[in-house]
Amino acid sequence: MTSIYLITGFLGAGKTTAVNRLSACFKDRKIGVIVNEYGRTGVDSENILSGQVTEITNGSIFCACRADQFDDALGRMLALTPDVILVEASGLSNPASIDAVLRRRPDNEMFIFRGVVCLIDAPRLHKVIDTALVVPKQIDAADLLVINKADLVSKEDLKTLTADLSRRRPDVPLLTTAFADIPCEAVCNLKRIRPAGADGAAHSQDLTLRKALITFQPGTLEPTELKALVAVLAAASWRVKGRVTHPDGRMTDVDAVGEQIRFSEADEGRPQNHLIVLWGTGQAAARMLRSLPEQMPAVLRIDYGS
Amino acid sequence: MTPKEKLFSTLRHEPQSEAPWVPFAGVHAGKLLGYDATEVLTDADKLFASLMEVNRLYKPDGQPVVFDLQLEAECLGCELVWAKEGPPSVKTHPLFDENDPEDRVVPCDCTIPDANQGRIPLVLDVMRRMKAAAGDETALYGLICGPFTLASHLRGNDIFMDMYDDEDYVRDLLAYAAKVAKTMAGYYVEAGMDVIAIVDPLISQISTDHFRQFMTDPFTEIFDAIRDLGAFSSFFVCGDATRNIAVMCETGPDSIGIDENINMAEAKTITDRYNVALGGNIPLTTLMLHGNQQDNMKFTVELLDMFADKTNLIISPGCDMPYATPVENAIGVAQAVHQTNQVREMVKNYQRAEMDLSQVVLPDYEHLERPLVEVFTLDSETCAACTYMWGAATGMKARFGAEIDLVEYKFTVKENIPRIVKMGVQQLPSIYVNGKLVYSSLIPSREAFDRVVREALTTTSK
Repeated sequence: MTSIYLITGFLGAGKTTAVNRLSACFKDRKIGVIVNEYGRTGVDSENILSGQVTEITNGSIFCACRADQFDDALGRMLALTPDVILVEASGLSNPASIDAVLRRRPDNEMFIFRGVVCLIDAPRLHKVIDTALVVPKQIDAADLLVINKADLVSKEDLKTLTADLSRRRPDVPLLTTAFADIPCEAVCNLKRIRPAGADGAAHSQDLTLRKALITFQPGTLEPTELKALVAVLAAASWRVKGRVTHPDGRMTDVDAVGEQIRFSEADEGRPQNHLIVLWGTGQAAARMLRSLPEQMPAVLRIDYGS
Repeated sequence: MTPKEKLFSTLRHEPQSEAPWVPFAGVHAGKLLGYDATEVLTDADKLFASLMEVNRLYKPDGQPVVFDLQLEAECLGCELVWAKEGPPSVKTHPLFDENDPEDRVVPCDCTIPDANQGRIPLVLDVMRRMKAAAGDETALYGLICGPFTLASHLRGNDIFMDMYDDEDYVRDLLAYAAKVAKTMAGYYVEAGMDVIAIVDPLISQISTDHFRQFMTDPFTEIFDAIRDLGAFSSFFVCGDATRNIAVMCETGPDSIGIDENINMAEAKTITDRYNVALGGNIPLTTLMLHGNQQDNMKFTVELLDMFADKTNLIISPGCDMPYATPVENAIGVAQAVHQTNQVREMVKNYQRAEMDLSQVVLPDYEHLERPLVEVFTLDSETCAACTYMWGAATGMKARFGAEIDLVEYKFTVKENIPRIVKMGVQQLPSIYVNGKLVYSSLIPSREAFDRVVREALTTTSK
């Protein structure tokens, strides 16, 4: 019998660190990991020892539109009969339908769903809970809440945050950590407590999420221009991610979640000239992107998705 | 001939000597068993039991399984406000960003609801149960939110601006909404529905030019798809859509449903030209909700007597019956349809009580301190056209603030009816400024409305 755990949390909350950490908890077992992060390029695969990683790209686990992809990935994983499967949900996904998705699988006797661990980004929660519709849904679907990055907020803020979350979910354990350092026993003892019937029934799409793919003229954007652009875009969106090739042939990988912006020089892989931007209603990214082609000749085109 | 076959025959446009009866008992069905509106729309057992009670008491030839134009919007992330005596209304519009109204997004096809989403499984379950329990005798209607109303739920009042500012966007958004409607039609036909009704109350709020420009294509596509699925179709509208009846017929539905804002005889001369059946139009509020049984019987007999030839004629309420409609009123209508001659005899000397208008005091419009905007609606919480008309008014109020006064008079509130009659309001929803009619069944764009209010600011006596 395979135990399935779902790790949720908004963009940048520390889900990947948590998955790596939790896989260590099960180090003597056969582990499978399903990750699903928009635009991710397999960064964590090598960290999962003796594990099996399946990535679902360009989709969102538990967004109904990609449930088929998740179903396929899970089927392939279950065929390998692991002891544990860790599923990392997309930071923008609403996990409310997980029970329904799992229940209607024909092989639902092969596994037991142990529950949902929801990572909370301590410094950013108050900002995102009112603007990103999925955040309260992620909290409401959790069996274990983990306040992560607690070292980055004051004691007073942490107290308020803990009180707010306990009020919202008095029925689930609440842990406080830094670097997603979740005690193994908290997860090993996890039990799905959400009442049957409360799940999925009213699952709905989130049309307030927006995405755009910016394509640049190959080899025209200087590193300084890129940094300035990403700084502005990141402040107006949930996430900016991609790779850009500069005039001298060097490549920069960009990964920004809100104000946490990471630039790294890429020394291998295909040259690319794209940035993916994800944002929601109330953020200024759309307005910014509309005027971008005029202001920046290096922009070849912008494709919008929804 | 079974009751169902009688309705089918009408929808096939065959000659008739009697008209079929289709009571639109949506949330009202729950009242029959003491369930509130939210209960019947969220609990399959309660909904099924209530619909069976409608079937037993009102002896319908056809009946809808659920009447909730917010069902699809809920699946697409609109937040709803639930009510005890009416269907829910839409609170949030996910495709509208108040900080950036020009951010016009068309959702990808991957967001079209699947059959497991929202309350769709509940509805399909009840449809299957109704088919098994009543489907041999009674034709069952699956109701779908029309593309224009769905687009308005998603985009909010700004869709009326978009029709001027970004025509391509409106066309694309309606094409998406039409795909949602076709998908829903597929689910409902598979669950046994005989007639698929596309309910689009907001069609009464646009001009014929805008209908041709934006609506003709998506609606034609939807009715073609329903025909391909092997079901009958209907196109329901609320409000004064007289000007649009002909263009509605041109989209190819088997029938059209109208309410009391449209003159039935006038509409039928148009629908007959296109050989489309016409259903309607028993007044919901004045008669079904606030009238008595004899009022309802008399009206129904007179309605039937307007048409010597009953071909292409369906008797039904103007739209979803008010929750609190007295049971005896709907039974009275059923009886008048099924035993017209006896009922005609029963009510031949009956006179409806005159309305007392002497107690209504209208404002002194010539001496107002500031402009007064009065919005007359059926009920902005339950009728989509009224919701968006009232939305246009509250949007205007937010821009003008204390410079103007704004008030809504709901027709569903009994005390408001004499006022609405005394004002001479002909159509709902309507907007009056300083006692003068400015918009009747036509939701104004923001700019046009602001112009009218600015004009009133300069002329209103201080």
